[in-house]
Amino acid sequence: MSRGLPFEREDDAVVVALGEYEVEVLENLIDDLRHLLMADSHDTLRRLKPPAHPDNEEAEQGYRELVDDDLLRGRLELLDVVEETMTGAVLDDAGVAAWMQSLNNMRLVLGERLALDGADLDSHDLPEGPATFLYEWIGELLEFLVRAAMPGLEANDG
Amino acid sequence: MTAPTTIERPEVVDVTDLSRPWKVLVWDDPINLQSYVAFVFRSLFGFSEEKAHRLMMEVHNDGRAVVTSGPKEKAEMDVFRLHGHGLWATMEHDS
Repeated sequence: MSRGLPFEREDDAVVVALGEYEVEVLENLIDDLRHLLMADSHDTLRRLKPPAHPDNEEAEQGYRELVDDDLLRGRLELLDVVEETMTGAVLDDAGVAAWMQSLNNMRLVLGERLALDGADLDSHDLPEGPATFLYEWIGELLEFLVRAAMPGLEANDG
Repeated sequence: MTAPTTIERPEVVDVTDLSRPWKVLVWDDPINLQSYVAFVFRSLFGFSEEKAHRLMMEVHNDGRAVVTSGPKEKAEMDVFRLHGHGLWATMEHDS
């Protein structure tokens, strides 16, 4: 069976062209991320909430109070968009952004999980196993999506 | 709308603080793909492909890069948008 790209460029749009099995795995990752986001206390979310003021506790607290709810709500809404556009959907700019950010959010969580388990993310020698496979696979999807979306960005230039 | 009966005294602000711009830095994180980082710079700030690529490489090679600067509110908004896209951004007062 020949397999095409997970995201394809068609005229002015990006088309989601994931296989059935890929959709299934993604659905699980979406559920996973949604639960983590809503629980909001898990260590693996660390990279989703980097400090804006690492050296100023008071300013950092003010920033967190200002943005945390919006960041959370935004991420959950993006996951909804992805879930609604899993099979054969034609994505507009907002759809592309939702997919891109959600894939990156998944990668940040998967990567943090590997890091917490002691993996050195700077090296190309990650431990073999499902966690590494998912981390690299999500990275691959994101890379393909960026490539498919790039011409849209170029069209907006100037 | 009725007129207020009391006027609150504004907080005293250090004037020098207002005149110095804030800079927004993005820090290197091996999890973030280079292509994605450059894409985010272009889509958020409208940078050219060349500028986005240069800044992305600066983040990668030097560990960080200043991507925007301006008044506090603008810097805060830029950091918020970068955080929304999963990039590791901080802000600091220009010295």
